[in-house]
Amino acid sequence: MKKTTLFCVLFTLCAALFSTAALSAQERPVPDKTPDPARTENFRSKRYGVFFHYLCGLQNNANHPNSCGKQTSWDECVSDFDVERFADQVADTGAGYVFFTMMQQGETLCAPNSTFDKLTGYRPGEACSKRDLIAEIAEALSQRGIDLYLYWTGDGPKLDKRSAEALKISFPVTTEFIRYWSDVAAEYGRRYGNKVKGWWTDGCYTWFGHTEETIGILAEGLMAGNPDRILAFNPGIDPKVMAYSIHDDFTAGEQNSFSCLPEEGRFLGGAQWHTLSYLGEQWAAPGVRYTAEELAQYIWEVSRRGGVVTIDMVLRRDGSLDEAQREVLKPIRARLGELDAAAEATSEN
Amino acid sequence: MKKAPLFALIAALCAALIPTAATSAQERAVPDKTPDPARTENFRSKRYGVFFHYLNGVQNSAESLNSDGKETSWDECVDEFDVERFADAAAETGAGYVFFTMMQQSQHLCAPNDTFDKLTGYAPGEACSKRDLIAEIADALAARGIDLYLYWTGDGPSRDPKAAAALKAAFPVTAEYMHNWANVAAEYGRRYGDKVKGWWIDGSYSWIGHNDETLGILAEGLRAGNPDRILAFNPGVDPRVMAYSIHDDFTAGEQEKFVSVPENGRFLGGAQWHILTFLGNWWGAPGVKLTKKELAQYVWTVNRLGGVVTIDMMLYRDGSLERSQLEVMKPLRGRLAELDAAAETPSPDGNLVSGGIPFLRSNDLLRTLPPSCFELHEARLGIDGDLSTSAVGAENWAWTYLVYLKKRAEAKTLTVHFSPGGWATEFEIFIKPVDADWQSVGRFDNPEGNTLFTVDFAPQTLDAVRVTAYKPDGPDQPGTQMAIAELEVY
Repeated sequence: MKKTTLFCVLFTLCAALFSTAALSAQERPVPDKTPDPARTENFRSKRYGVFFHYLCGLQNNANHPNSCGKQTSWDECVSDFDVERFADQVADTGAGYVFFTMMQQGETLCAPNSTFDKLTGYRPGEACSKRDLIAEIAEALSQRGIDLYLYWTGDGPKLDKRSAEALKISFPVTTEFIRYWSDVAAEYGRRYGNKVKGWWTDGCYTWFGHTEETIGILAEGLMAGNPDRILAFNPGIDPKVMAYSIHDDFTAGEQNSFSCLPEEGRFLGGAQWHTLSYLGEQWAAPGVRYTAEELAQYIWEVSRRGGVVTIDMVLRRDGSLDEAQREVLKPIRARLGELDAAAEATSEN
Repeated sequence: MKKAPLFALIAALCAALIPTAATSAQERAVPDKTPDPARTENFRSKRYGVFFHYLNGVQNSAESLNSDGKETSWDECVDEFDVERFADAAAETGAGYVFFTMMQQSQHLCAPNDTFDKLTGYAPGEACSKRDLIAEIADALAARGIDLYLYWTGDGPSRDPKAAAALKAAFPVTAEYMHNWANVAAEYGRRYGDKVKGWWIDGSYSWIGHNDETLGILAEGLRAGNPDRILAFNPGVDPRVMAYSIHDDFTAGEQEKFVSVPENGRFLGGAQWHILTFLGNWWGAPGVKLTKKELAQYVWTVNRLGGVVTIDMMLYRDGSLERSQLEVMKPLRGRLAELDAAAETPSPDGNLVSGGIPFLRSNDLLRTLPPSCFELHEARLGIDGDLSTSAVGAENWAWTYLVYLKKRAEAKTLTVHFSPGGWATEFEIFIKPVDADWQSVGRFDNPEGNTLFTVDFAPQTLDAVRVTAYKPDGPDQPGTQMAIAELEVY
């Protein structure tokens, strides 16, 4: 048999995976779930919010623009974060809420967690920062009338060998792994209570082995401490915003552009219609792909149809946001008001 | 005659214009000019600088991100510019010089000018700001060891009817128009003297009637006050950095990507090789197109081949710079020094391309290709000393592996190792001697799929080598896409 190069094998594998994912989205049954409008009404009423990637590989990577050129221990990085500056600049954007990542794929989390430390053997500060950044951010945002949601993952700290062994991480995911990981989330949930309004949970892909059972185990942990907390589980990037799990209160809605609109009203498979995409050239990257007017028109149209829009922005190590992206978002809240008034005037006539 | 829809007419007009411009670049005669190394040595020694658009339509337009949402009189806008903040930020980039726009197409200039006011009838502050922003910027930058260059245009304030009429603006440009416009520039030149080291002149296009005569009129005005001032006239965006006018001391080099590198040494048509392009998504816009490492590698490669790089950045109304771009620029000067030191260190095995600067390129050399399967086939893997890894370009079946030696060195033999299953059936090996064009040292047919080829050539000092695959150039052909496991040059 003719030898194939590594790249051919990988290319074929990538093509196969992509094809599988695409087929899955099309064939995926819509959850049989009755919408609960009251449960997501607060979220819907905010119309739009912002999303921030705060990760060791970004804000603590000297090669990355978001790091301000610094690379230190994770604990020192978290200590550098200026919460008040962050909250002030978020308020400038007019966002009704913030999604903030707690971790992604690695062992570094931005708040203490004794469950994680006990499971893995890491000391406080080595993996989970000693500073409870989330608690401080929740407080600062709350003072400015902004809700806090958090980002979690369904594949856990899989890239850290020690954590992966301790939490028994495997793919397809097992209930044992997910229970451990859910317990870690539950400690946070109980601590923050109603200061955290929900979670957006990445990496809940069927090709990782996730099912309603495993997602349900995660959901239980993520709800700890606040039964009103709303959840979304990410199936990956679908061709458009689509329903996924019966455990979704809102759609994860990960997209590569701000173009998708609610087609069937406020709910999809019983979940509040919601989309998340990035304003820059990529996730957590600088640049502005849309003008303020384009974004305002999009958000207005989505919210007119019952949906909610979350916009990913650059966040720097010191807690500052990208200025150009802020300038785009600054006028949006007021512009939505103008569009509302104009629509009102038109309907009265 | 049948009426044609408007869009068809416009499309036909565009189609006629575009080939003309492209043909012009290809056919344009290279100026017969003897290089004057001393004249541009200071500029070359700086290695890289930054460029800022400061314009009424950018910093003083509420819809523009650069304006901080403000829109006032031009004079008020100029008054708000914080020169010290700007100079501090420019210093943080490590730039050796700054290019700063004085105007573009409109009547708004950022320093007083009696000549302009008298010609046009504008009162001070209406068109030319009362504040001499340029003088202040020149002093602030000089205090930080940074040279100042200015941006001018060859089409003048053509969008302002009052100024255009007063200056007798006409297209094709006339000598009368250029004399009027050159006189405006000359007043600035005499005022600033050696505080302004040069000009980059946009809109010097042949398709608006410019030629060496009209550019010569402009050049005279632009050198007033400092005979050592160096100039570049912009012919438009060429396929790569190319020579243009006999009046160029350095090439304008307007490009849209950081790809073009000096191919035949420091001078092009007698002008110092120089490139200008934008770090963000467009001129004066946010975004970062290159990582810190990519930018450092590119600037270092251009410098090693004798060129200079100018990087356009986003400038805000208050004089601050776009932070993400600043973060990418901050380590650049230091990284260039690290690359210099690395270039001086001989590779342990004597392989002259070890530690070099590799590129995955299209066969016309104009595009840098991404690696196949992301980081699995990055360019560096073709010279990492490991036969189990390979460099493969994506997007093009037939592609070129090009490596600039980290240091010019004499070589006489090249060996290419293809990956098993990654061999081209037709390919060619080229060497690039210093200050000479690419030379082929062997073209090969390889239907059997051999993975090891060595070619000897007459010893000469080289800048770069490349392997260009011609076949297969699509699927269902014998052979597979070229994969370079290792390149060796001794």
